[in-house]
Amino acid sequence: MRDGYRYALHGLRGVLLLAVICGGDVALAHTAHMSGHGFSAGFSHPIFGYDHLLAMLAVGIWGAFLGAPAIWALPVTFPLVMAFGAVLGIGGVWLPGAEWVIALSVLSLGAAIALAARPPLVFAAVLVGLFAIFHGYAHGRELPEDSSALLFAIGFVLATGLIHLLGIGIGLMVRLPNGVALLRLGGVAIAAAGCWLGFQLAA
Amino acid sequence: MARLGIVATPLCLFAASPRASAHANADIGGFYQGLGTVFMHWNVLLLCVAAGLWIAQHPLPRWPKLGTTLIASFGAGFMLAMVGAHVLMPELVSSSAFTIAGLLAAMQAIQLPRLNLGLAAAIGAMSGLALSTLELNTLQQPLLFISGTLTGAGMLVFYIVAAVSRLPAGWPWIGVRIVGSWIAAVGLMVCAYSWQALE
Repeated sequence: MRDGYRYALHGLRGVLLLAVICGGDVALAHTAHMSGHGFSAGFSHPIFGYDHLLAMLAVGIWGAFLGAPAIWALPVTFPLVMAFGAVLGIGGVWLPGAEWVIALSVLSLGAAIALAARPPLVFAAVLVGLFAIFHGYAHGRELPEDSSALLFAIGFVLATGLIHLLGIGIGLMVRLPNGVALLRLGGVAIAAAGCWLGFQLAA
Repeated sequence: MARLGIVATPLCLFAASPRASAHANADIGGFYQGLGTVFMHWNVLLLCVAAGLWIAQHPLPRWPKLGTTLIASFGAGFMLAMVGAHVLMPELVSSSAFTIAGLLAAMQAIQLPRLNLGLAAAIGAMSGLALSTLELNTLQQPLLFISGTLTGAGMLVFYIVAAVSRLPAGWPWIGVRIVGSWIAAVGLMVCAYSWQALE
């Protein structure tokens, strides 16, 4: 039980860290210092796109649900696969229905948490990898003008990884007495957001 | 090896310090420029971090060989550039070098000593050649710059290896692989952007 609270506290620290970093970004927008332009653009990309934010949080939470080795295999492979998707986007490769797949990813990952699904690791990894390619693809096409590619990439990967780790931190609430029920409720909310994204695309 | 580092680091810094150079005839500003390049040049910094994370995953007796090969090939890349060799796409080559190093750090260390030595030599030479293609024409003291860069890179890799090897088993080592995968992901994206900029 004490462990559960400790892990929840780690999750809260992650949220605060993200808030401080994002807050710093907002504060920087009101100064004349523009040297971190590429970094802040890359960092804010995954955070302010709520479809990406929800999907990446969901991957982390689901990884914690699945336990070892998924809990550490997913954060190692996810950024790499997502970067591969970004490479496809940068290279101009056409992936059909990317926005639909992104909405579907939010819905499916939310549903997986809501149902506390525990499929074989290979199936989970392939599913998450497929979604990661589409999320990376959507981001890769959007390097802002006058941005440093390297700083943009560092910001983008760092934000993606931190959100993912935050998801894992939240997912560790499974060790709390009512943690599983709370997380499954969160999964329902994420799946509902996925449905809403789908309706928006259809409208 | 740790004792050697404790002695070597202050010795290098003292030998190159302004106070020491004030008593010599040579102006060694180029050395500091090279030393700073390791920390100011993102490509070199990421390469050193990723290489340090990778080398630390090997058994202790292999660290000196891998570290020396990496730094020596880094220097060899500079020397090749000084005799006229250059790469056409330095940004792409440099990014590829730290992408490979990041991938190696993300995967658990492959226990093939010769292959690892070859990889260390390749990424060091790629990075050295790319950096010198970018910087060499603007330098007034290339040899001092090279020695400063090699000292900085060597010290950084050494300290990262020393710090990582002391981590307790479990989550911290997973963290090492995660950082490696993040570096590789950054490298993949930068390679693609560099390629796109060329087209």
